[in-house]
Amino acid sequence: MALKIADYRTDVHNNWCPGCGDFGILSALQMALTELQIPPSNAAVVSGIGCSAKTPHYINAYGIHTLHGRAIAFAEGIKLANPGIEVVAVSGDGDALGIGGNHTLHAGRRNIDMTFVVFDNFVYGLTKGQASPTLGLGVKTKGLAKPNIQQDINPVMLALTAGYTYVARGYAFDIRHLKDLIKNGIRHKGAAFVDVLQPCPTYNDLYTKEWYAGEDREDPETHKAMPRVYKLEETGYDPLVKTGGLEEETTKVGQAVAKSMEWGDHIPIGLFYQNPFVPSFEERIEKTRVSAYREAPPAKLKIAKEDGTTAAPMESLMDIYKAV
Amino acid sequence: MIHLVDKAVANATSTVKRFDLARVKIERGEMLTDEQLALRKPYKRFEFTERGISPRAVVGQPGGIFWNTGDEHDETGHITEDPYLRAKMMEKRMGKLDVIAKEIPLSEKLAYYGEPRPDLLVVGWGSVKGAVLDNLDTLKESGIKAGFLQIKMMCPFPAGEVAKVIKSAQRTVIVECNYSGQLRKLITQETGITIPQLVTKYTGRPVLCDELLESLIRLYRAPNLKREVLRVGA
Repeated sequence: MALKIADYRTDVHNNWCPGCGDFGILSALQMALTELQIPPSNAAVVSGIGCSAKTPHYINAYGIHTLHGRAIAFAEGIKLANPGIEVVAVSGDGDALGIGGNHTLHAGRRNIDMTFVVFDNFVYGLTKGQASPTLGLGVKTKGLAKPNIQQDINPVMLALTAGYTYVARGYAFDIRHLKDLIKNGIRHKGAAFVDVLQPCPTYNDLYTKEWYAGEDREDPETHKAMPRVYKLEETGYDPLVKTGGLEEETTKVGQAVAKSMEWGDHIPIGLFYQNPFVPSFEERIEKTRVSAYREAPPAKLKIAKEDGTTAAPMESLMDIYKAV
Repeated sequence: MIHLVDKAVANATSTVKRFDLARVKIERGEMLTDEQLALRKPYKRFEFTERGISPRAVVGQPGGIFWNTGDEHDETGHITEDPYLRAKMMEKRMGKLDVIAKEIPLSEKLAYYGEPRPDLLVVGWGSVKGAVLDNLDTLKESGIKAGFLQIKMMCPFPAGEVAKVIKSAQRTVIVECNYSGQLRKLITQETGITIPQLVTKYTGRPVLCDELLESLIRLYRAPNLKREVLRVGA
């Protein structure tokens, strides 16, 4: 029997603010899991702390709501212990780039086959709207007494340079488009990074749904609003590394970095970069460390014999330390 | 479980006999098989049980879906702010300490060396053990009947047993490798007894047998001395 979207929902009361971008991201994620027909008990959604971190509670799958900034670290552990599980880490812009910046950075180097979705609304919404690491220098959202004194981190650029092999940006209220980005990220054999622009209707009075829709910008000819977000794929942009090798990768990363710097009246969303040629961490383990890793991953290993004593070959392990 | 070590224990290497692996049993607690899970619908990871421990599934098991959170949660693991549930969950979690205290044998909580009802009881933990034990006979030759209480478990703390040993001694001194005498504070917190004299060393070097002997004798002869700091070692 095919799994329906209802199979990925829980009956937990949702207390996100009305109009929050989180709703769009949650729906996109549930739609992606449905379309991929991933059995709920074979999926784990891992979060840190913040509004975004409540996401696992609304999804019927293993849900691990962890420590501030540590979604990635826990998710990596789950995936490496049991590579057969589909793991999606969700994190806010503060959680992912502030508190957990280190984890986010280094996950790129490992290229573990999992998907990381960053809920990017430029503010720390749960704690009343302080500037998050993605808010630009000199920008003043309503929760700030004075304009932001720090520069911003560009999540897409960071992911590209950190080594993520699938880097995309979605918009929370273009749910179908975002669903495809997440879905392809899950399919991608390596670390996928999906930055999601989202309004925070309570604390971000600048980057609102109306602002993204360009309602303040009238097209002089059609008198319609001119949306600020546009889709890369509609401009002939080609994110895919096709043959591999340093030269092609340099070109593709370079164009993606350049695109990631666009902001203001033209904000690109879609897939910035995908490189299928970098081996995943699981492949690296398999090829250079433990050839039976996938068939016998740590989570499936029997660690004790029937009588409770260790199943590990301790005698041969201890021989390593024997005096010669 | 957190293994607490001091620096000398952490940095030490020593030759040991082969471990007798038959004596070590792996106990993973109340884990559910896929078949057992199939009979529990809906499965509740944090179910209230008589013993206070909920049988567990692991991520990826069919039918074992649960949620973990660092916030307060209900029986399935979902976040909650319900005050009734909050109190019940606190009682469930903290009640495990009683189960632990009951299940762990006394020999894992503390060890006593030397003669009963000593003139001088030395209390300590970690790397100080060797230096204290090496001094028990010498102290006896100096006319001081000494005993050593090694405390092995800090939480849940074996308060009753520790108090009993301290009360059996004429005099008590504590030896620790940290500046403030952390175990001494813990003993006061858990038993109401404050050990009056502290020998401490915080150079990151282990306590040596000779310096400790001198210190113990000095403290035994001068009950007014509160604190001795050991400093030997390059």
